[in-house]
Amino acid sequence: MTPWALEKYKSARPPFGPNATFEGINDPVQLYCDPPGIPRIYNYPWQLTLLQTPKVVYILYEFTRTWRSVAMERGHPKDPDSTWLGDSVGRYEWDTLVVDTIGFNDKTWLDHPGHPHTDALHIIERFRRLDHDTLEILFTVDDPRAYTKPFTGRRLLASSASPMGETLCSMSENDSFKKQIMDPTVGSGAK
Amino acid sequence: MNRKLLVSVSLVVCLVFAAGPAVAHHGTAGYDMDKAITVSGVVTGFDWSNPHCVIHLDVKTDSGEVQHWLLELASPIHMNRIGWTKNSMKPGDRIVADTYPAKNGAPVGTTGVQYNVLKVVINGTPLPTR
Repeated sequence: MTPWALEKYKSARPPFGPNATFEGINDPVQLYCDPPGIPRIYNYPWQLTLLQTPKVVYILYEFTRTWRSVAMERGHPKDPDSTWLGDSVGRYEWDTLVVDTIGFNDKTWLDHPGHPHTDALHIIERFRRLDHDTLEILFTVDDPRAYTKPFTGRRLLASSASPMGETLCSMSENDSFKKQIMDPTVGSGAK
Repeated sequence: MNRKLLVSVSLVVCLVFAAGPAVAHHGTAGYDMDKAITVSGVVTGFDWSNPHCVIHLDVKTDSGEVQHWLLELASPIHMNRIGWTKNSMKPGDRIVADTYPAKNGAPVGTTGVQYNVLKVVINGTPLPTR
């Protein structure tokens, strides 16, 4: 990590990972229902659907009902606006869908423990079916302002016969759950 | 399979995949995950909502006092996929449930994350655990 990223990481108060806490959480998904971002969304145990149309592949995520469009017949704009999910373009390399994304904002975490990124983030995802029922996602994260070298991750998903369901992130439901369940576990534990 | 072949087969190809075991919407930092306990009592409510379903129950302590407990479960979708519904229990039902309790002693616990739900018995009948 660069010094900037290290300081940012140290300031994270995540509910997950080696520094997990339920107190003073500043996880943007937990606190504000912000979009989980890429690749963090693959940390969540919900389903996704790949929907291919002639010119666009849509990736539909069950968690928070987030969706992305991957343009298959164009390149990136020269200077894309910064957005939560960035600008994605794709191509097939034999049996692998390769998705190249830039143009992110800097508001999401890369993972549950709270690794940060800047708007220079560049992610390449490679989707491949290892067999009929297994999808492999390999992703490369490159952000020279936050990390001294690119790094990779891997996620395996099993095919599902279950239809995608409703898992919206609702501030009112989140707030109610936090007050009811999480807050009592913090501090001295008033009964 | 290349893109042209996919397109020739169908205008729209749809594939659904599910992630394997992983932590859910929030972590388990507030719970003692090394020590499951068993609580028993009477159901007073059952929240079938995101981000997590919650069982409300009254538990009679050894001293005879009634203590109100809350047991967190997985999200409705995950509970539904292992066979639970919003009607899996109702107020007045007798309940025996395992849970990982709050570290600080608060009467709160987690009884299920994603597809790994601990033992929950309603009126003598066990509910699906995975």
